Amino acid sequence: MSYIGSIGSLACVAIILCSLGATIGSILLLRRTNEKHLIGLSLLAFLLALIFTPILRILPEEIGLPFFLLAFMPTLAILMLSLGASFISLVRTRARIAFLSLILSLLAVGLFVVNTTTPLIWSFRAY
Amino acid sequence: MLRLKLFVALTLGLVLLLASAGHMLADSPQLQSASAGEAGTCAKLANPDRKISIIVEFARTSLQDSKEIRQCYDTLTNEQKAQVFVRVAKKMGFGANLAEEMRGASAQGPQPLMYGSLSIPYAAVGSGEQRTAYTYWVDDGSRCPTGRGTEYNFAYSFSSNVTNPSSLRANSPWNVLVDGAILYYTLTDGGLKAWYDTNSPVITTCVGDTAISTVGGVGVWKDNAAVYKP
Repeated sequence: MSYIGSIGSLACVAIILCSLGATIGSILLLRRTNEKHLIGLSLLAFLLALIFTPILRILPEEIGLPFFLLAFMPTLAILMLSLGASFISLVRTRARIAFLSLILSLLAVGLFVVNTTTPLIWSFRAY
Repeated sequence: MLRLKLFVALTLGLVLLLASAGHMLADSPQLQSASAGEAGTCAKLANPDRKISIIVEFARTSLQDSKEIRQCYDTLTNEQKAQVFVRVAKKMGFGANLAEEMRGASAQGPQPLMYGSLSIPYAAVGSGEQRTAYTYWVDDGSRCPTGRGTEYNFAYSFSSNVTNPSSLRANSPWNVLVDGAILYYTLTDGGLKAWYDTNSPVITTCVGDTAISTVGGVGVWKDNAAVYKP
């Protein structure tokens, strides 16, 4: 059987969860957070983007695969939440800290994409 | 003064001569001894990719015959032996269009087989001809990147020859765990390890026992891991 454009089920779940999580999470977070929390969230997102792929490529498959299946969605959620919250905060307050937080979140997402899709910074696992 | 200049010039000349001679001496024996050292243990290695790399490197750097390298070569399967020639050609710089060239050269005779292995990357959206494995078998782990433990080989058959294996993509539209495992291999190894023959519609992929037990069994992987040929 042939299909055109079959979406991977994980990608499908990730898209739905990230869209919902970023929207709902950002609204909830912004109602009860301050600027320090926002920058903290962006820093956490950046840190995760920095270490997620190298950890996967260092760990042996026996630990790496379950770790990936458990940690991939939460990592994506934190990245999207950080991006969404920073963007909404910037639109609402136009504060410098919100701008910095947004820049940091964008850098985190960029770093995550580069790290996961290429061996540019961290080479593929060697045997 | 003239004597001093002459002395300095002679000393400098001597130093330069010694340095270049030392450099020349240091280069070639190191290369040969490294190749010889690896050649001795080559046949005992478990990972066929490593064996192929050693043979290719030896063929590229040494014009001498080697008993150890011949023994190592004999331990390879026909597919792997063919891969040695492909890799040597690529290393020598005329392998870019090797498949095309061999096809042209064989117009009057039987078509040569073009074996090889590559990693099939994950595609969030797969397009083209989609296939799930039609069969699988278990072996000792010589075809997977790790080269150890039990491994599961899955065969996929397309409607026409896989002439451009680098365009293949994989995902699972029906099972999140299988999809996640394919994505994991793409992030860590560049994709699912696969073996192809450009004159055949069949490709095989190999997956370690960790992934099979994580997704819930070999049947789950066989029915849910899809490969796409654009």
